[in-house]
Amino acid sequence: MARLAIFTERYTIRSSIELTALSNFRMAAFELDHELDFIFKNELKYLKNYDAVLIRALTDPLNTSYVVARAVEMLGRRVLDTSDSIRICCDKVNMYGRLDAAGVPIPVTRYLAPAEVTPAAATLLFETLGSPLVLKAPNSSFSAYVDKVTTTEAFVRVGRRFLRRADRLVVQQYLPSEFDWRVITLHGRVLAVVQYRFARDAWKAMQRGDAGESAVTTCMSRHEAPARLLEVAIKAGAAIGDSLYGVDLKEIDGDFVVIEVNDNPTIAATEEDQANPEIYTDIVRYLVDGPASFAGRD
Amino acid sequence: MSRAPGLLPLEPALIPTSWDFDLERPVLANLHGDYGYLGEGYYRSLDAEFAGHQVVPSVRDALDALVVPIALLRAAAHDVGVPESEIVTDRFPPAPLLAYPVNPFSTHGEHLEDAAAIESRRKGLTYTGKYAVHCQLLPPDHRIDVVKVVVGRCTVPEYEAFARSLFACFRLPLMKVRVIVTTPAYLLSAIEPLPFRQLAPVDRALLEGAVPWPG
Repeated sequence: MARLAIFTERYTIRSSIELTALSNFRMAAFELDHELDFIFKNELKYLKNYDAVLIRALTDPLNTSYVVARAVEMLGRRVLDTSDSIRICCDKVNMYGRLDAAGVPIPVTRYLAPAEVTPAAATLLFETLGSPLVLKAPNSSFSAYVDKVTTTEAFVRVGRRFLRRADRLVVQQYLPSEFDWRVITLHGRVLAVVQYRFARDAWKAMQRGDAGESAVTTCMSRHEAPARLLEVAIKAGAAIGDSLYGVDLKEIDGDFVVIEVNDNPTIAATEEDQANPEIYTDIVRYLVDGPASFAGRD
Repeated sequence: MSRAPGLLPLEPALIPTSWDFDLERPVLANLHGDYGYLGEGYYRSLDAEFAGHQVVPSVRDALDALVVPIALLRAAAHDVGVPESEIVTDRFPPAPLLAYPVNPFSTHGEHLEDAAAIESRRKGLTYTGKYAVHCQLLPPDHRIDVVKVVVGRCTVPEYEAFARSLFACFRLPLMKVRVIVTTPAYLLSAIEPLPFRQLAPVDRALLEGAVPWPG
């Protein structure tokens, strides 16, 4: 029997489907004869009591979740997410750099320092990457601080606003689509496959439509997903590390392009677990036994 | 020269034996001095890592040093003295203490002398309980020093050994170190940025012989 903990925070349990997912993790642990406690940020001195920790809280290298990851690692115990994954995925310069170095298909991407965010640079980028361009602050999340621009004036204005958050700006070619794929992977294994179909007139998953509607989440069995989708997603995850990832991809002309790799992917009851209810058990087993937990299973 | 130089190779004799580098290749020192997350100094190290260089600090080192509770865990693992501490969101330990916010917006520590100071700052430091605060208990008869450490060297003789151990532990070529001084020991409280432009001539002289310095 292992003693497991989920580090979580109050905003993670504000919605019923996220709360139910946390409960599902605990039930999965109980079914496997393990103990599982929830632990909050004023209880970190008790981390040493646990064999492994799952982080289900907003991750950022300057937040408590990163302290949890590093503390558990220094104790020599298993943690999801690993601190390396948090650090890499929370900085898009770091993340895209690793995907690019590993030969993972991504949109054409440029990184600008503050002095490079000028009308002249914008003009050149529109000429080479097309219009619109997508600007991202390196530490954007949940589609915030990601914007689409079509003019040099907007490029400079939005770019300089994003530079208040970091000393680099990410500029990418725009790839239109009606939905994103999300493949949840753990140590090179696919746990779930999801489509986020955008709201009407929206161009990113977290953006609401004109009528206030959200993206629609549809889950499919990993056994029914396109093989090439899974291949690209696994390669993207491997470029980052061996932790738990949500790989976002777009289908372009029959192939797949990675839009980003997220650490700490959302796992909400009735959404990401729709077609893969074993996702909770898969993660609990991994926390206890590591990659050996996959042995003998497809 | 006030602008930070680029990455300069460290003199091999200054590289601690505990570092896991290939000593057949240069170890580059990023002398920006402010390695704050997503800042220019941080990206200089990241760019060097992508270029395949051995660089100090790595972005991992930089974060370990600048996130106070992680810095103290890492220091303790390297036998560097640290104060008794606790992470809280509401119930602070008794004063006097040093309180460091753990959130993306502020890293500035505060000295809370008494219960009234804690009560007046409790909500502000935690953003009304939303974020954590790392509280360090201050022992009786302490004083707090702030010293500059330049490639493991310090102009204050009493801190020479402590500076060497901090450099070996954290690998930051430039750092400002907040120290809780007690009769038996120096206790690390926090590591803060030491931007290159803040180096006095006496500090810059410490770089001579450590890196290929223009003099």
